[in-house]
Order: sequence, then C-alpha cells, then structure tokens
Amino acid sequence: MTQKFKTSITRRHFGALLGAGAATLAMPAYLRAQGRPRVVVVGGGPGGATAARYIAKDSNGEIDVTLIDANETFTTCFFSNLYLGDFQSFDDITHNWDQLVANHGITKITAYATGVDRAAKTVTLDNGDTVEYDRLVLSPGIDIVYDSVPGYSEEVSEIAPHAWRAGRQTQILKEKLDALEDGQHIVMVAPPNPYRCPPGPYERVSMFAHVLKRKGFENSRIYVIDPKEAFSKQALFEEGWARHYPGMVEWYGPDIHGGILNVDAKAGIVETDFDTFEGALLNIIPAQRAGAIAHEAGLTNEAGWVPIDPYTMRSQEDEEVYVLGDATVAGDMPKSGFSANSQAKVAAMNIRGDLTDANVFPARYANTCWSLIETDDGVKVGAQYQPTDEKIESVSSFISQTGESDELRKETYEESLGWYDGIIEDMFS
Amino acid sequence: MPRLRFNVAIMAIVLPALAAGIPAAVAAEDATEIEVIVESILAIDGDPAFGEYLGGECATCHRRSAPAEGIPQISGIDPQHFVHAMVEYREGIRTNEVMRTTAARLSDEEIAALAAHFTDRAAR
Ligand SMILES: Cc1cc2nc3c(=O)[nH]c(=O)nc-3n(C[C@H](O)[C@H](O)[C@H](O)COP(=O)(O)OP(=O)(O)OC[C@H]3O[C@@H](n4cnc5c(N)ncnc54)[C@H](O)[C@@H]3O)c2cc1C
Repeated sequence: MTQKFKTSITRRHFGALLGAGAATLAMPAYLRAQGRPRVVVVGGGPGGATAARYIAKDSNGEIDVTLIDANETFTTCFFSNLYLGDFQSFDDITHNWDQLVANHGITKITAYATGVDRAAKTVTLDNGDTVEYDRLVLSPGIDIVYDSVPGYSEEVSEIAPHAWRAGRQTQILKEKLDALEDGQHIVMVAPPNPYRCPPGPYERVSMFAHVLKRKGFENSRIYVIDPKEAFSKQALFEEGWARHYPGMVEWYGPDIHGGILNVDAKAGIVETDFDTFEGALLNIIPAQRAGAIAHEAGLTNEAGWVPIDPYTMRSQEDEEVYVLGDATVAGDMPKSGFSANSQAKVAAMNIRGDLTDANVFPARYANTCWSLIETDDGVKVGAQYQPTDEKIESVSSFISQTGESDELRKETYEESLGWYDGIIEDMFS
Repeated sequence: MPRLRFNVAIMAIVLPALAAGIPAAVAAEDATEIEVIVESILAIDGDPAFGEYLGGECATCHRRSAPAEGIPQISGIDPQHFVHAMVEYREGIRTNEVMRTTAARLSDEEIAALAAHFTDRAAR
C-alpha cells in the first residue's frame, strides 16, 4: 500500500466525524468552487452500471454521474448459455440504461471512449468529445486476445464464434447450434486462466448437449479442447454429463491433446498435437485481457490486467481512478457479474467518501456463480471475501456437492432465476 | 453473549436427532439458545445507515420491488422474522449455503443494523 491512499482515509474520517450538516465544509474547496463533483463511468455492465446507480442514488443529487457505454443496449453474458439452451430468449437477457437516466438523473452517453488523460482528468470519446471528471470509474470488461489461438482472428470469429462477449456473437453461436444435424459435431476450445466466468465454458457445453439431446441426436459429439488441466466445478459437470448426456461430451486436457496447433474455421477443424478434431460448429474461446481503455489509461500490468487497491478498488497507479470487474486483478474473486456488482458497491461508497461527507465502511465482497447442467439441475459455487494488504482474500466458501437430491438441484436452479432478476434490478432500475 | 458455534461434528449429531424426531434435550436447548440470541439482537439499536451499506450485498439477489423467483423479498420484513432467520443461518440450522456463508460473517450488531435498514425501507 502506498502512502497516497492514507491521505484520503484521513480526510474521509474527518468528513464522517463532522456529520451531515457540515457537508460543504468537509468538501474540498476546489470542488465547492466548481459546483457538483463529477464522476464519469466507462462501461455499463455489472461493474459500471452498479457503480453509477449507487453513486447517483445514494448521493441524492450531490454528485453528477455520467455513464459512457458504446452501445444502446446491454446483453448479459450471464444467462447467455441459458439462451443457447432455450431457457431464456434474447430479449430476456437484453437490457438498457433508460431507468438509470429517469430515476437517478444519470447522463448516459452512447460513444466509445478512446483515451484517458489522467493529468488533465479527461476522457476522450470517438465522437471527438472530451468529458471531464473528478473521479473516473473504468469497468470495460474484457478484450479477446484473438491470436492466442493459432489460426484464429476477429474475422474468423464470424464463422467460429467465441460468444464470450454477448450480443451478435451469441446469436451467431445460437444459429449454428440450431442448424446442426445428427452426426455433426461441436468442437469447443476452452480458454486459459484467467478468464471471465470460470464455469462458463462447461455450462455452455451442458446447454449444447441439452439441445442435441432434446432433438434426439445420437451421433453428435461435443469435443472440449482445454488448455487447463482442471476446471471449475469439474466433478459436478462430469457427473452431470455422465448422467444426462452419456457418451456425448469428450473433454481433453493438455496432457492428452498436447497443445493446439491450428484452427481452420472454413474446413471446420481444430488440429492438436494428438489428433485433429472435426466440427460443423467451432466455438473458440481465446485468452483474454482487460478492455482496451484500461491499457490506454496506462493502468494495466504485464499480464494485461489492472492491479487494484483491495480496500477500495482504486487503481494502484492513480487514486482518482477506480477499476472494477473483469478488467481487474481481484485476488481470489473470480471474474463474474456478481463479483463486479459487489466491487462496484465498495467503489461507490469510497467515491462518495472522496467527494462528499458520506461515511465509508470497511469493504466486504461476495460472489456466487450458478450453473445449469440440465433442466432443473442447477449447481453453485460461492465465497465471501475481505481485503488484505496483498489481495482480496476468500474468507469462507461453498460448492454444491455431487449426488445431491433432485429437489435441492431444482431449488438451486430456481435460486439462480431469482438472482438474475435481482442483479438486473440492482444494475438497471 | 456467548455465540453458538456448531462445528461439523456437532451438526452431524444434532441434525439426525431432529430428523428422527428424537426430541433430544439437545434440540430443545438449541432452540432456546437461538431465542436468547435473537432477543439480544432485537434489543440492539441497529444503525440503519450501516445497514444500508451492508444491505447492498443482499440487493444483488433479493429484489426490492417484488419477490424474485426462488428468493424471498426482504424489504419491509418483520424484524423478529429477519433476525430469527439470520441467526439460524449463522448458527448452521438453516441449510442454504449462500445464506450460511453470508450470515457467518455477520456480528450481532451487523444483523441489528440490517434489520433496522430493511424495516425502515417499508416505512418509506
Ligand atoms: C457465457 C458466460 C456466462 C456467464 N455467466 C455468468 C453467471 O452466471 N454469473 C456471473 O456472475 N457472471 C457470469 N459471466 C461473467 C460476466 O458476464 C462478467 O464477469 C461481467 O459481465 C463483467 O462485468 P464488467 O462490468 O467487468 O464488464 P462487462 O459486462 O463486459 O461490461 C463492459 C461494458 O463496457 C462497454 N465498454 C468497454 N469498453 C468501452 C469503451 N472504451 N467505451 C465505451 N464502452 C465500453 C462494453 O460495451 C460493455 O457494455 C458469464 C460470462 C460468460 C461469457
């Protein structure tokens, strides 16, 4: 921890002690001079939308909040696998920021942020505009590192979708899945760590299998070529695949396939050291890194992610810039929508503490990731976290067990439906 | 106030006893002890502002506007009912793992603050 964080903590305590009546006194003079303090949020996903909403809602108009997202709508990656499995429609998983504007006075700008000038405290947009901030929040999600898989590229992703950022990619994957005929195969190349949503690829495999099984396909296979030796909820997925989809899913770790040599999307093949896998549908999920704006802002480490202060979610490079969600190195927390939403509340509280006399309480974080294996067969993994000087650390955790009753699995699935409605309301209402 | 701390070994004895309907004095004693904790928490004057911050975690799953499928609404909940449920999760009587790990790190003061916050929400 660097010294610079300490100053703001002292000032925050000072603000807290003065109480509500002394708001203007506790506010630094430079802010009083220029009117309402301005917070700019780049990225309207679980990290950015939640942060914008909590800052605006809890500051009762004291802070001016601008949310910048490149799109008019937001399709959630979470539940996008359930869309593939026909448990959700595309509309069900597509939302917008209109309520944030109407209910909390947030300004939404639809533009792509191309750069951050941290000295001038401005964000530049692709429409040529410049937006000034007192505090900046970046929650840009991930960029796909296309060339981490030999033969893969952004262009090839139109034929062999990754669908690891939701939207058109997800629809391409769904169209290709629905077009399969019995005897045609699916090849998935799974991503290396760290990546967004650790159980995501394996939930997706389950939803692929669900669709093939429902159509009565007996001769189609799903091959998973994985760069990892083990994966999230592995025992639960393997048990579920054997139970619901016997013989349909074949998973290959690096010990067996020996490395991915090439993807030829037109020919529909994935070549590995061990064998060549053929599929009418290739789902290639490459390595990932923080969204481009985090790199532009000069906040990323060599691995391509943003180190943060575990107590506040401030970037370690700049105490006036907070970074959330998938883009960060969040210690033991996985890259999930739940995590991003949890981190956003800690950041929102600290930003209000920075800019107004709001109380700042000690950070705490939580995450739960639900996955659906087959109709009414839901599983979950989750943990509680606390900040330490080194990282955000897990303090207690749980995971569904193999052999659980059908009743419990159904309850777990229903709980995930409740969670989806809950987090959507928490982000967008 | 002594906090009940079931360890796994004790749970293994208590739960089958409950299921088998063997009204072991143990089970009755636990029920009483839970009541004692609940009463002592209800006696605390919870801080709704602190509760509002802590309640941010609840809002990820529990909708404010309506009950979510598979997850109950807690806005405006009766404090007695809320505190009772949270203590039962914390002490490992209720089984939902998300709620158990969530409640496990809440102190009596924090449960009281949450109760004050969620009760307060109904009034507004
Ligand atoms: C298949 C799949 C299943 C998943 N399932 C779950 C699940 O069940 N539960 C769960 O919790 N998580 C799940 N996740 C993970 C979850 O989707 C992510 O962790 C989460 O979306 C991360 O939120 P974020 O705010 O960091 O970024 P994002 O959600 O990616 O949001 C970033 C936003 O910023 C915008 N943006 C980026 N850069 C700029 C820029 N320069 N200018 C303007 N706008 C910009 C983007 O358009 C986007 O709208 C899943 C992911 C996948 C792929």
